[in-house]
Amino acid sequence: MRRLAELRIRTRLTIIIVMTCTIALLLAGVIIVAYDNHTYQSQKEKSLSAQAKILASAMTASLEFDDSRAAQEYLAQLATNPQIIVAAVYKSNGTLFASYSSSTSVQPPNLAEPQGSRVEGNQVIISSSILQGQRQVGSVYLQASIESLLSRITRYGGIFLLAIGVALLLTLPIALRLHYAIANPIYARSLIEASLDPLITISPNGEITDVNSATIDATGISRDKLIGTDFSNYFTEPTKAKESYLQVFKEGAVTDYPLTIRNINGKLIDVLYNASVYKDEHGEVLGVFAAARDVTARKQAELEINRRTAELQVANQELEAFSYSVSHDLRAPLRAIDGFSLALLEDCSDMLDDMGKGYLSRVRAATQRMGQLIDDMLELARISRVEMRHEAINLSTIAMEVLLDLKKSDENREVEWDVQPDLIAMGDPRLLRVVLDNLIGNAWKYTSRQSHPHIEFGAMSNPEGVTDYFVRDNGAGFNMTYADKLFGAFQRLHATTEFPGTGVGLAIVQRIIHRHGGRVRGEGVPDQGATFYFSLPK
Amino acid sequence: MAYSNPITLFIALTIAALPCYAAIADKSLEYKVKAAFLYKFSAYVDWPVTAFSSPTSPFSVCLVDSNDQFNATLEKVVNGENVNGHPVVVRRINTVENEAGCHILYIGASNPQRTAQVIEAVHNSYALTVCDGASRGIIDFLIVDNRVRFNIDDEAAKQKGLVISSKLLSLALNVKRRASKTE
Repeated sequence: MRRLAELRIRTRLTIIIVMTCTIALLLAGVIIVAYDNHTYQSQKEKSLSAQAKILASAMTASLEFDDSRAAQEYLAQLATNPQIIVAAVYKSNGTLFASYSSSTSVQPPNLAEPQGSRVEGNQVIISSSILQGQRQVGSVYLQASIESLLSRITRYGGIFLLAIGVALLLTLPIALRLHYAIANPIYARSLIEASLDPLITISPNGEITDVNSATIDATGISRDKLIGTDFSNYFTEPTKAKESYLQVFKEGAVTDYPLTIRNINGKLIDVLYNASVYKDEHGEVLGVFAAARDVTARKQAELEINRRTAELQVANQELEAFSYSVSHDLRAPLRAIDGFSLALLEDCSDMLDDMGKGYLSRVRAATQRMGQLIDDMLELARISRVEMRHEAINLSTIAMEVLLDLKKSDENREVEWDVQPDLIAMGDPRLLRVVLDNLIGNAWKYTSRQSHPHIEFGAMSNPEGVTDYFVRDNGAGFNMTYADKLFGAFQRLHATTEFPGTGVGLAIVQRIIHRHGGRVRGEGVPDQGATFYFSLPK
Repeated sequence: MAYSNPITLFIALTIAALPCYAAIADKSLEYKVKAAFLYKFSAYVDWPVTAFSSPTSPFSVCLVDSNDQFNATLEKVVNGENVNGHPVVVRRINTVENEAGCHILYIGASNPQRTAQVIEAVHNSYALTVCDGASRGIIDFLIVDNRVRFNIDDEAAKQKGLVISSKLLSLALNVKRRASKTE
């Protein structure tokens, strides 16, 4: 039966139909012919016996009244039955009374035969007594030909063979046409061929049994040359390929098994194999069905990512080195400028007039400002690099601390504030402190000209359903037309003379919030106030 | 010529009688056949039920004016036989009356007047009349080609209520068919 499974389905179907038809008709034929033969002879004997008896009854009168001519005339009518060879009537003493024979070569026996019937070759011979009441007045002899058994068998056999031939002639084409509906599902095959993934079936000994066109493209080898060959031949690591299908046979399936196909033109294709065993209707494993997923693009993307990550790391390291050198190398001259300016102010104050002292103060202010700028730049750079923690933080507490600190450093100012309590968010506590330092610090700064400064910190849901935290003040505000410049580094919408600052604060806030995955924006109305919103995803 | 010599007379007489011997020998065979036929007729004729007083009442074969040889032969043929359970009885009668109760009546006389008389007498009975060449009975024997044949008057049989089998009719030389009912 295994060999049957390997033949083409069309051949299988043909064999099945031929065998079934032949066996069925042969069996029927044998049974019918055997039965017929068995009963033919006895049937013929019976029918001829009946004929003999009819003949006998018709002969009684002519026998009794010794009218052999009447008897002869009657017997002559038997010529109408071509099967009757000889018919004869005998008197009670056994002598011939009247007879008929179909040919001159055959003659009836001279004396009456004993009563009975028998079959000789292909003839039936019947001898029957003629009775009048209880007396036997004579006997009738009938000899007829019957078909020989051999010729009957031959004839019926011939008929059945003809029937088989006709049946096959009619059923085979019909079946073969219909077999396309069941055994050659065009739909399923076209799906297999349409698949972009190389599909393949492997026999238990590792030989390829079927491929689709994607496999032919991937390997660069034609279907005929692929089938029957070893699966592992077409990979850069044949041992690994072999192990893969052995694993499928052992465990039933294998997923995302990485291999590299080697095309005949040298091109290498990285793939991930998904494979499983398939079975016949008895649950016997017939082979492995494997699909390859081309992952070359993905691999290249991975390589690219790795490369860029490496580049980034290098860039980061360079930036660290740069920042370090900036913090030292730039500061050193600054310290010198500031230091010596101070020295001049203190030690040579009697040699300087007010204008001179004024100049030196301005120099010092400038250096201090530059120092601040450097610190802020370093801070901005640091913010980008520092490792982030991720924990639950009470923003309200932090906001309160920031406000208290500001109050402590500037006790003369009366500032009202409103802090919504118990606002918990997920993020890095140090970085978020920096955010609130900057935003609330800004609010404090830009309300310095207000008579009744008011700062608010709270949370609300924005139209997208995300929680927005906000810091609101009623200070100087800003013109919304310049809103896009707000978060740019070193961008300021106010002169330093109006409000001090380096313009890096909001850039720092934006960088931190973006690292948390949130968004930040600002709204302002000149001389009325500003509100800054930021969101922190969970 | 004077028959003075008795031996020559004897020889002459014997010679003269020779044909008679032959004739007598032939005749004996003829009687035998006719007697056999007479009995055999009974198998091919149906008598009305009224012809028998009981299921075992005798079947009478009556002989009128028949010779002794014929009688002896007939007695031998029918000895112990029966017709449908009726034992066969042979009776020799001289005068015939209607109530003689004969089933078969054989008239051996060659005298046509006598034959006609007898037949007339049993005209209303159910007797199957058999004659010798007189063409008066239902069945008439005749000799053709040295063989005993017979004619049958089926019309007369019908009038007596007798039914004759077609097998017998087919063997008769001449048959006077009975008139069919639709006539």
